Amino acid sequence: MKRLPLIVPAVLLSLSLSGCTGGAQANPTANAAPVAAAGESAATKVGAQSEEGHDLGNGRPAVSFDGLMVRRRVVIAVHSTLEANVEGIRKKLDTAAAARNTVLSNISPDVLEPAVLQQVVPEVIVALPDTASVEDGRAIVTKATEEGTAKLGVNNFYVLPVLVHDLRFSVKTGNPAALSAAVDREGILSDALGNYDTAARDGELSISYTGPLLGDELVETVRGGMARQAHVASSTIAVGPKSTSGAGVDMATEPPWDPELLENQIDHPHTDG
Amino acid sequence: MATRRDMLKLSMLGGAVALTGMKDGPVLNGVSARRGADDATTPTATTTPSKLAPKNTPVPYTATFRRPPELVPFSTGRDADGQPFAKYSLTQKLGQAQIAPGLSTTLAGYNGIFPGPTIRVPQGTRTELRISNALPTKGLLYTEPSNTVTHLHGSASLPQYDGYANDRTAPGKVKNYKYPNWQAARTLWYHDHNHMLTAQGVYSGLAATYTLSDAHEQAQLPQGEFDVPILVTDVMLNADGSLGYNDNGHSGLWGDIVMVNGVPWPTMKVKPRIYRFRFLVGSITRSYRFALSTGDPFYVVGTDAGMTPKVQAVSSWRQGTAERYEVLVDFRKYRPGQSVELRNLSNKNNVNYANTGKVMKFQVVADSPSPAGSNSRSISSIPSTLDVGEPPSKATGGLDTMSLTPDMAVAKRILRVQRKNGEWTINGETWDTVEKSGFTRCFANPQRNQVEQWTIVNESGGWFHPVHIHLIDGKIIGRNTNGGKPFAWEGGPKDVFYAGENESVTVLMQFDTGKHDGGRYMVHCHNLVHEDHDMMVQFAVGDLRNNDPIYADQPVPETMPAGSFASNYRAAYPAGT
Repeated sequence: MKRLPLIVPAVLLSLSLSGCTGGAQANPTANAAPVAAAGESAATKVGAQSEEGHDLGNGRPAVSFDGLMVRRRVVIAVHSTLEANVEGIRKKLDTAAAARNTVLSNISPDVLEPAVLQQVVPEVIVALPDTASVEDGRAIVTKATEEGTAKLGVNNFYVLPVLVHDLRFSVKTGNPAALSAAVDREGILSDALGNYDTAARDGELSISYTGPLLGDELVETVRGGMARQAHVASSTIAVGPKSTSGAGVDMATEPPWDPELLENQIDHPHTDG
Repeated sequence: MATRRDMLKLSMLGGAVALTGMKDGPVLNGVSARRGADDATTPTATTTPSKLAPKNTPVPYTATFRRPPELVPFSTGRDADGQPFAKYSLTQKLGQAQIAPGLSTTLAGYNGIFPGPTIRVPQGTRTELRISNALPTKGLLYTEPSNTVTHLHGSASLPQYDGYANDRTAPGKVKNYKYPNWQAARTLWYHDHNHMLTAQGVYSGLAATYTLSDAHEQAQLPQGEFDVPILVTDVMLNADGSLGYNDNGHSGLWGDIVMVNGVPWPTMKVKPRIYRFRFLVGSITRSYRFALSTGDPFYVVGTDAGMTPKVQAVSSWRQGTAERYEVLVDFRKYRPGQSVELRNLSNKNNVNYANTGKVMKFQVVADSPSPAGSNSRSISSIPSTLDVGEPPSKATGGLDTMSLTPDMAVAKRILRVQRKNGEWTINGETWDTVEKSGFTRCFANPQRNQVEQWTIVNESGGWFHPVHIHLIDGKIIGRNTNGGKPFAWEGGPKDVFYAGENESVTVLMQFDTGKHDGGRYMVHCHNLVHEDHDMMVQFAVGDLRNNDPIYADQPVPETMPAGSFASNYRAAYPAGT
């Protein structure tokens, strides 16, 4: 396994992740329903599926919508105190990124692996552009901490590679603005995706999402949420990548996240003033 | 480090595994307040979901809808100052229910039934609920003593009657809960709130509807036959019909049988009229998104704490545990013989089974007169606005909740609901922190009638948290999703605030205690296994020493023989209606 050294001494809490960015469940097909014995109750049959692969908790869900729809990104997550100046921290990072002509974007903390998320519980987490590397992230953190960040309530910075879904849902419709309003109003997409971008023009409603991996069930929920208001079948809702350029991720070959790797991480508590 | 998913796998193999160690709490009422029995590291016997044989497995829409019986007070009258009162008696005891065909399910309920008896009270009539704990020494789903705590959810009660989580009534004791009922009309519910074991208590059956009515609500919304309680829960049953229980390592309980008023997927007969349904989710964890199979709208006329000033049409809505939504459904467009399904489209971070997408079915029947004496009344059209009236406590400084504005807030606070290092926490603290402080640790200390702005932030991963703030009625003024606005169905006063995955919700609230001086009140996640383990903190209104929630009015030994207070119920509506 190839490991990525991500350490910035005294500033950066780093993880040796070997490019592994998934959860405990590796096999996207692991939640396939088992064949039930004859006479077995319906309740027992459905129960055997239970929670594996669902969009529940912080583990990796079953993801069939992969390839160009799944991308690698780099995030900076900040472990801070309860009294941290969250806005100040974000401003520091934005300023440091701007010095490198980089724009940071918001992203859900749920992109982090479960063990990292439970340890860091970041109040600030930002994503670098899709072309950025871990080294770029380290450089931004180094720049941001030149004058010290402890007064802002920062304990540590993490620069981490993560997997994200980069999806576009679309449907043809006679009145995309009205459909967009109806979809927003019902709130199914808000629950499933959090924030998303909408384009309603040229006879099409298009909804774009970049964020934590969505299980297949959740992708179908989004399609269903659009289809309900468009009065079409869910299968009519197209699902594809936001961009056809660059490299995607084949989830079938993506190694699982190994929590034990976190046990061996090198911890560099933030000590500067 | 074991991940949550590891825990789930373990629990599926043999039982739930504890995330936290055994800890002993303080001794109250002579009974050791030990931590929950489900903290034990030995596997429990039951895993999810139901283990019923096919012949015993409930089939959706084959059972008949029913309403919980409405309890009649054993005493009514007026106090010396002229205020009316009504006194009720309830006994917490074991009972039998038929959920699975051909099998009996033992439950622990108020008067031995689930849901417990409905209590309907007019605004201004104070009530006393004499609640006697006649449960066996050991709990139905745990080996600890079956202590109970009763919380009337939605009431601005004194702290000693608010169901403080450590104000336990042991078996053989009785507590007389007193409720002021000065607030505006709303749907409330009373349920168990025994810390560390609240989930098991409610799941066993200790939950029931309580409604408060007033002249405004009575004049504008359907009544009687057309005013229908819908208490939605989910359960799992063992092969012998007994209750199964698995909270997946304190993460959540998702049953595969959806019940309405204790009946699995019932069918209700409805007339071609406008009905008012009082939706209350009493599930331990599961949240729902209710929708009609026809795609027709619901009209939201009420939220947790009363009527909505504007009526909103929605094609579905999201509802978490303990939230209440009152909606109108117009069945006049349907012909007798037509059916309409009430479905659950589900929400993110739930576990769904074959039939958890179904809730109940409405079967439209021919119109007919309402039962005599039922004071039934539908309405002739869907209103667009509702007159909620003056704030009931205006004379003592009470404000209209939905008229609160951010400039009124004297403090802004943030509550971070977090999964942190294996514990459910609020701002990094738990109820254990409160217990260890001798119940003095408070998250906030607003003064009586002050307005504050609280933002609930959920950024700890793949979970939703319906956060309940005791005492207050709140107005949602913003979210970090949905364009920054409340959802369409959130246009009324609320006391439970659904914070979905990576969501934050901002709420304005007035700490209106009515005529009393306040004291300590709880704030917690209403996913009851989160609440139990240990996502709960408290705040105090005014001096925290006022109205001690544990010692001001303690339970006493029950001295009245069983049956001293007859359980009389009002006449029921015809079967299935």
